[in-house]
Amino acid sequence: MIPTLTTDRLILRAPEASDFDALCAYFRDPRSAFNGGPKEPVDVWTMLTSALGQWHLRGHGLWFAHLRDTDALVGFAGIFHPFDWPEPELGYGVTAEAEGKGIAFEAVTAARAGAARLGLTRLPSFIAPDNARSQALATRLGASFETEITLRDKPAQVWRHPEVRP
Amino acid sequence: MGHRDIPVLTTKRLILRAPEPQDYPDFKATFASYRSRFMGGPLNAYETWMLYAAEIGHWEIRGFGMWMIHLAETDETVGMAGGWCPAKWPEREIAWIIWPNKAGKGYALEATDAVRRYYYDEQGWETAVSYIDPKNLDSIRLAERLGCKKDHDAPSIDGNDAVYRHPAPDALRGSQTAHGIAMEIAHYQDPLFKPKGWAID
Repeated sequence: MIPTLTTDRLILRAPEASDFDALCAYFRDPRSAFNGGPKEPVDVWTMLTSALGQWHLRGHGLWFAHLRDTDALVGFAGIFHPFDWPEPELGYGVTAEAEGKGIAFEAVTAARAGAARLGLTRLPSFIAPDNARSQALATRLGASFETEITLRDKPAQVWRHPEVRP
Repeated sequence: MGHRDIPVLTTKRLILRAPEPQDYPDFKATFASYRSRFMGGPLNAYETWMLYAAEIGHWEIRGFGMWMIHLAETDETVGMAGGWCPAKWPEREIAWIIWPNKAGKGYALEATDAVRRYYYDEQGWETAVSYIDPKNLDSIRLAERLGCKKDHDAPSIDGNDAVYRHPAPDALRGSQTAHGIAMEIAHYQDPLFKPKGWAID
């Protein structure tokens, strides 16, 4: 039911139990602060299983991105849509090792196309005002700043991606 | 949409089904309340959503999980029951929660008895535990009605909970405990129920 996406270097697939250790490592890293981290292992487990559960509740969700070469988990990208989100979001995060290699760009581009095939063709990304790296990535992806909103009591910028034809 | 692979269990009064999007408000109400204090709550709105979605992801990853308990007659939900084993859990648990305004009608007993039989008979479980806060007297009482015994040697989750071990499938099958559970459930289902041979005076 959950489609697998492939790019030159990556395979994006449904969250799996075997991703747990790598995901714990990501959420130990302070860089995870923009994605709700740092998290203890028990909360990482909830994140992992809820990422999978969202696919069944919403019909869309996050893909976990692995290097095709080594199968190492390098991040996640896809649709994040908890009940209190104003609309489904194109969300993403990559591990420290994957940074600076265009991996996030590759993963998000694939996830955005995958989302379009599920009928979500013009998604926003919600980005913290002080997350300059993510804003730069959104710009490279062709997204543009739309407005500022409050998300869970914190300011967030809405970056709107261009319409993607499935 | 729910989940197509989660089996449906039925008892006389209950239907146990996969958690579905439309059931979320009932779950949210209970997990926002003091009622959930022995289940990791109360949770804020965001944590509640994560846990709800995680209920389904747990099924996907473990091949077992928690069902939403519906009344067969009205389809309304009254709680959840099933198997639970997140990361770092010492072993597989049978867990339950009943919405606060639905307690006292024997739904937890009827549902938990059904899920335990499912895991024993259909999934081949040889044992199961329930991790219970020592202050959660209602749940301890239910565990005891289900034939559980406190297991002092088994590891607990974090030292703040007691481990209640369910009777093994062979010890349960055809036992006095099993008959007692069946009779108690039958009494909840029909308060006028009297087994054959019941004393007249």
